[in-house]
Amino acid sequence: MDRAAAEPRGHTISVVVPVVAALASASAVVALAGWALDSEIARAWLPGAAAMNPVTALALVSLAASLWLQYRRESSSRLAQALALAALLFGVLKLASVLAGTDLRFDHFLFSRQLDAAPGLPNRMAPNTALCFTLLGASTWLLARGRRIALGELLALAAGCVAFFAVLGYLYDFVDLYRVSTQIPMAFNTAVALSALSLGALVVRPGHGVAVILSSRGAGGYVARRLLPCVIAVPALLGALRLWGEHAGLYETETGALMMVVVTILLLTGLVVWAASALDRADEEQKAAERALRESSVFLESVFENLPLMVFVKEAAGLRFVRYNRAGEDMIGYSREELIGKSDHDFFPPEEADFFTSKDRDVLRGGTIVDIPEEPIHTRNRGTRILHTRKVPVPGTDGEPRFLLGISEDITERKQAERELEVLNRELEAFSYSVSHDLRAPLRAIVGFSQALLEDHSTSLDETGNKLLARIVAGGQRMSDLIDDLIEFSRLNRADIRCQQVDLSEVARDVARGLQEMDGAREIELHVADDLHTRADPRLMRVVLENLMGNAWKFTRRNDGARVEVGATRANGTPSAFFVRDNGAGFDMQYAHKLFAPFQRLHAAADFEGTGIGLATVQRIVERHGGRVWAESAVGAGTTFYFTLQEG
Amino acid sequence: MNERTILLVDDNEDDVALTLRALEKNNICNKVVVARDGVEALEFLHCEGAHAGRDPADLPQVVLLDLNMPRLGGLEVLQRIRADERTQTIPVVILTSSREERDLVQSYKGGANSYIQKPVDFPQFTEAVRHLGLYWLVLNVAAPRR
Repeated sequence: MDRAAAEPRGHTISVVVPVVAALASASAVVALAGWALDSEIARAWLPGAAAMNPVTALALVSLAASLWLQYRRESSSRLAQALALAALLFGVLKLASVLAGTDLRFDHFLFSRQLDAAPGLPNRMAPNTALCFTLLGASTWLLARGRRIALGELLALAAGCVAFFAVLGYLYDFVDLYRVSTQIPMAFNTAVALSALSLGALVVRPGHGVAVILSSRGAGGYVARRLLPCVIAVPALLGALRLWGEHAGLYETETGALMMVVVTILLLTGLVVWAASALDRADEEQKAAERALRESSVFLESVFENLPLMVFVKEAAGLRFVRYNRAGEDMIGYSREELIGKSDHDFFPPEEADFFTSKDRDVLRGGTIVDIPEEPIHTRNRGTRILHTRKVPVPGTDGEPRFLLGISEDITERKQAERELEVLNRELEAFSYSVSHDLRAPLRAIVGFSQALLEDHSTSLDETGNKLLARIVAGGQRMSDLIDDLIEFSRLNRADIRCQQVDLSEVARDVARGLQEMDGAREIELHVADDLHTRADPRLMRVVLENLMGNAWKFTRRNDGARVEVGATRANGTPSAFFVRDNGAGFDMQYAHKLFAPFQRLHAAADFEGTGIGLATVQRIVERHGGRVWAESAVGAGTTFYFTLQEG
Repeated sequence: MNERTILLVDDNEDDVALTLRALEKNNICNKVVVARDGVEALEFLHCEGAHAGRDPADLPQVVLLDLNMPRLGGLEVLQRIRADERTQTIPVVILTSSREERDLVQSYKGGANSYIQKPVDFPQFTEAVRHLGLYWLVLNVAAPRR
């Protein structure tokens, strides 16, 4: 059993096989019926012509069946072979008996009574029919076997010629084409059936011989399928037409011949023009497709080449470079001619090259993008650069990785900037630390000894002296507060933000407790909304609320009935801004722009103490969370501070 | 008989003066030994150098240690105090200007018993010293001397 054909058979010329098999079988069956029912039309088609021999009919059915089985490829080819051999046998036997001069009478046993009763020559299988069966039987057998297919098709062609010329002979009334000497001639229906079967045998194998051209889906097949029948049928018919006209007395021989020549020339020219234009059209389409492909290719090339990032491609097997773009050449310092065909090991020190190769293998194995945030490479002209590289496998048409595509970004400058930033930060920390220790010490001395004076030697000074000393002390204490606030402010700027889910309601209540403890005498009406959930750094949020609520505490000191509220404004059920509201002293909105500047105050120190750094701290923290803070107030009517934080 | 001495380690004269004054104000009459830097402090504790010839068993009841000092810093002194078997168990109170987290953590990790930030305001400082004195000299039970 062979299953060689990849294409569905419906798309090949072999579809004619069932048709011809049906045709041949039908003519055979009809002929047999003609013998049984004594109908000359059925068994001879043409009146007065020889009829198809019954055994010939059997042999035709046998061949038709064989071809049909081969076309279907379902059942065993052995049956197809056997059927072919049966027809071959008939043919060989008849040929042998003709050549030997004996009459084996095997073509007589069927319908013998009717055969004898028929007028004219006793009906037998004609010798040329036998020859056709020999040729076609052998052909069909070879095709069924699947060996020497070319020979099989050649034999089919030979049989087809014999049969087709017999058909032509009937058409042109040229007896020698269908009759061998004085033997019984091949019947017309036999000739037609044999021609059809020969054609079937020629195309039953779609991958071989003439079937290939006729089945081709390209311009060639298209043209051949239309041209071939015309080129065979047209001259045959024209010739017959001409003879018929001549015999009917419509015109003379010369006229007839000339007309046929002219019509043939015209028809064939027409066919050639048609074929040429069909081929040209196909060609045009091909060229257009090629043009589009070229443009696309040029575009992609251009993109690859001009990307401002280094892009390279390695083939998967040996990890050698196959493509490098201009940015890559500039970066590495080698031209692409020097790069292509080489691998990492040709350019970089072994440790670097091994690192790259192992990463490449990971990419190819894993089938996903590999991100290398930092890798140092040694370049030819630009020293060591830091690259951020991403590599991705590129699959071929079979889905297996064929290439490795890499894109690298030079982040050396950025890394440098980051390093410098780190250095600056460290210097700032050292500075803060120093301030923390070294500024406070002399301050202690100033304040401490002044207080010592006040305590132990107040009697040595007059009232003015004591007051002056008191002011020195106050100044020192204020300076101490300022230093504390500065240190804190600086530290907050440098601290890492660690965001997590925070319940601001809890924090607010806790801060309130602390404030209450420090100032136990006061009674404050506090309202804290529930469920003030958000995502932020808890420590920093605490600082924000300490400052804002501390302010609220402070600026309601002169109220009777101080009221502080902490909550959130909502839009569609989600908190959009948090607020801290008090009904205290308030401030003049025209100075609102100074509110958050460090050390700027909107009240005299005598009225309300403070360093003026609290709100700057709040603003810094809120901004570091990606939010903003603002206030609304009126003198004597209280203040509300609003702030937002970035969601998530 | 061993008197309960206080070892005060601080390089700043003003701070020393203020601390002594605070102790006096609180009627803390224990003998106070002042070391001007870390080296001097260790010499005292280990009876070496300028303090050679001192009785090694005579150790202070509590050490008040400043952090910012030249030559040998407070944390290093702490480390050496804790490393030496003889002085391992002496209570050490860090008395310093800084409230830096770094200092806090390092001090406790180094084995300090307590950490006090020197306030600028003298009455507050006096109050702090009073607490100090009450606690470390009176309330706290020291490790037995060998």
